[in-house]
Amino acid sequence: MSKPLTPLDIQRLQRRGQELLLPRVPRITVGCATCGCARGAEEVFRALQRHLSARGIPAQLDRVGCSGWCSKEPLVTVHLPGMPKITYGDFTPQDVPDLIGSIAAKTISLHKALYRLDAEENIMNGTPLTYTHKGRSTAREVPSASALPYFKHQKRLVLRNCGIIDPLSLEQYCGRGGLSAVCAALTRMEPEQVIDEISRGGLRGRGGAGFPTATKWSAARAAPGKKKYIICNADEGDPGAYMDRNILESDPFSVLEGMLIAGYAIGAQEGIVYVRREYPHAVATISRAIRIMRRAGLFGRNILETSFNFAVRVVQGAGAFVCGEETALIASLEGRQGEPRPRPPYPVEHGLHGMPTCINNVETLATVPVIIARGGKWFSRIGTRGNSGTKVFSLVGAVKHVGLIEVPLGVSLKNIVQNIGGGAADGTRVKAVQTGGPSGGCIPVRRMDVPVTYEDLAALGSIMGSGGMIVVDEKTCMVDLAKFFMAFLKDESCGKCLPCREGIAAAYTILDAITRGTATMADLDRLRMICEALEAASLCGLGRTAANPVLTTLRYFKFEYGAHINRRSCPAGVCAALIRLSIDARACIGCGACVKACPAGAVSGLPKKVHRINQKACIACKACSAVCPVGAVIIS
Amino acid sequence: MKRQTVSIEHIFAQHRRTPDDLIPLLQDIQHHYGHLPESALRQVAAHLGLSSARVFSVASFYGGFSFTPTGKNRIEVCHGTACHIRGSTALTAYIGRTLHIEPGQTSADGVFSLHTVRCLGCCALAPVMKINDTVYPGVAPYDALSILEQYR
Repeated sequence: MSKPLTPLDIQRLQRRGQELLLPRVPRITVGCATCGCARGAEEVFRALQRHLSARGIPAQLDRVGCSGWCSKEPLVTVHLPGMPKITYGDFTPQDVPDLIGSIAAKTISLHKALYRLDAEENIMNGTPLTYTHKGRSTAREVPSASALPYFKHQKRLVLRNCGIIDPLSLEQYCGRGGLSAVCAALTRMEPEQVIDEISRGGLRGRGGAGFPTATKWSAARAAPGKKKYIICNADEGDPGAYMDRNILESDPFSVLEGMLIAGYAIGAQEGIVYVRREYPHAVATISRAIRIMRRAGLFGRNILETSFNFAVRVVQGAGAFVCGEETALIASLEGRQGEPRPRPPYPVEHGLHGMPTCINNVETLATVPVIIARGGKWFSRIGTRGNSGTKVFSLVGAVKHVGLIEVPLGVSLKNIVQNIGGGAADGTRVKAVQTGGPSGGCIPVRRMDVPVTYEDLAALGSIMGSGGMIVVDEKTCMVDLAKFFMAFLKDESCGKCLPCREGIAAAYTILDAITRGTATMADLDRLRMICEALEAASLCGLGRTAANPVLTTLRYFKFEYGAHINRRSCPAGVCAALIRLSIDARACIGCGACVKACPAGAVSGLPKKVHRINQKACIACKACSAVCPVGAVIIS
Repeated sequence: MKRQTVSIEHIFAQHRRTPDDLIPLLQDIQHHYGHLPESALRQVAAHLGLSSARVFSVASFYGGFSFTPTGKNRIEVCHGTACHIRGSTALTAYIGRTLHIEPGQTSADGVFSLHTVRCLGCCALAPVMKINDTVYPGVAPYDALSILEQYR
């Protein structure tokens, strides 16, 4: 290990980082998180590398994380010194030569330019960063980020570095004000003062339940124990949510700095990052970030020349949704089945190996450095009273702009869907928004003026949850969606308590019968009764909230249930047993595409003649409908 | 998927000898062997001083462990919420029909095994499918065919 960092070294790192972020040569960045790579970011990166070196153009090329605008991936950002930063979307290796040409000529290429950034604020200290200098090209043709509805309504505290810094460059992290918070906490604040600051900020747990973070920290600090633990819960199990994956992949040091501050505040000596195994890139990134911090002496003994000692390690989950629950997570860390136990005692008093253990979510921890750096009072002015600060959401499904967004709490759901999301995708209408994953519910379009706060979402029968926001249109069947969540929870229920184990299975059976057209209206009453029992009698949150997707769809979309039961029809055309695919004889051109696409051999017909679907063999996968060039497949 | 002939003793040496490390140990064995052979589970029990029943109960509790060998290429179709509403059920049905297998099974030629997973966290690209370490965005059922062909 090299010599541990001192507070003075951190100032040097910050200056060096600023030089790396604003070099004298052009800086080109490519978003290379999991979603970017799936869309070909790595190929774009290599093409840029090749062309830059072939033409001998001095430039700094960095792999960065994801800025969140996933529907425009791969994203490339070019920053010529003294000019605005320009971000390009849907970038391909074929676009590289032209871009390199304009970089060589020191001009701004407009091809595929999405937006420009003239200036921004350093979130960690409030200083302005101006990119566009007088007399240089201003690229007015490219829309300014601050004018785009997608960005205009966002406020990025947690995502402050995502898509901007190389996730594994400690210098670049410091260049954006990183490590200043831990430096202040360790050298100038008592642990109690740290907790007071978080309390003043009013930060609530971003994992879903919204429990005040400072209260948890105080309890863990006060609890007796010869050893204490901080666990970063990165077991992001909610399907449809990927905020934590992106933070770990794009800005791992922010989470680790938050862990250091939390560890100092409660008096812990050890931290564990518990991360899903389904996120291999996140696991690799956070593990490497920990090694970098360790080498810099930021983990280990006498951190920043203080008496504080702290070590961090990564543990991978083994594929059990219930391990997002605190006591189940601890059981898993102790090498046991991930079964929850009754609380109290709470983990802050009796956690890992019986020691006080504080479990915080990724996003919560990434928020901590901002509050310490800017002060609790500053933070509490963002959002609304009782719901201060910002929250990251994964806005996906049937909207034009899908991606990760961050907004002040208290903005309306409508604002998020209509302005940031750009409204319904072409040719469709938004029907509902599903929030909170399997523990959450579906909010109908007529209630979308609801302010997004923990309490307001709960009043509608849903929850804030960890931040999944799935917009659905008329092509989604609400009964099928409720059944989807029940199927998920049926598989993921640990089986320890009877109400959850049997209740969810029974609810699923009824929902399945409804989607097959074999249920009666009396079954709906039984379904409601089971839901009430689940809420009242389950051991942990998984079972207690399992009914939400069913209850909210029953409350707001009862007519869809009625259509399945009384008319044996699925209005959205989703439920396989209730739909029939046929070919419109007047439209079919006999091209044979559907014959090739059908995996069940259910379509037949001679070339140039009308084709037919054998109903007995059809599995309703709709592959024929997707490939038909003239839209001749009728779903009824 | 990596398949090396690493001795179990070598894997043991990478971990602490405490029940706390049971799950990381099993993950490592699965990583190297592709699944958890019964003999390895017994060796793990003896090594950590636990009963075989305890080791088996933990291994069977978590969805990430498999007791049967998987195919040369592991297909994972994401069944998260965003993928579900964009047709992942149909995608799985389509691939299953094409390979003549159900989720959880391996094709007769051993080239593919088909699995459904709970959210790969690429919800903006739904529906997604992962083969080994590569994520494929926006896969329509019929597109899956040409992707699978690349692995034959």
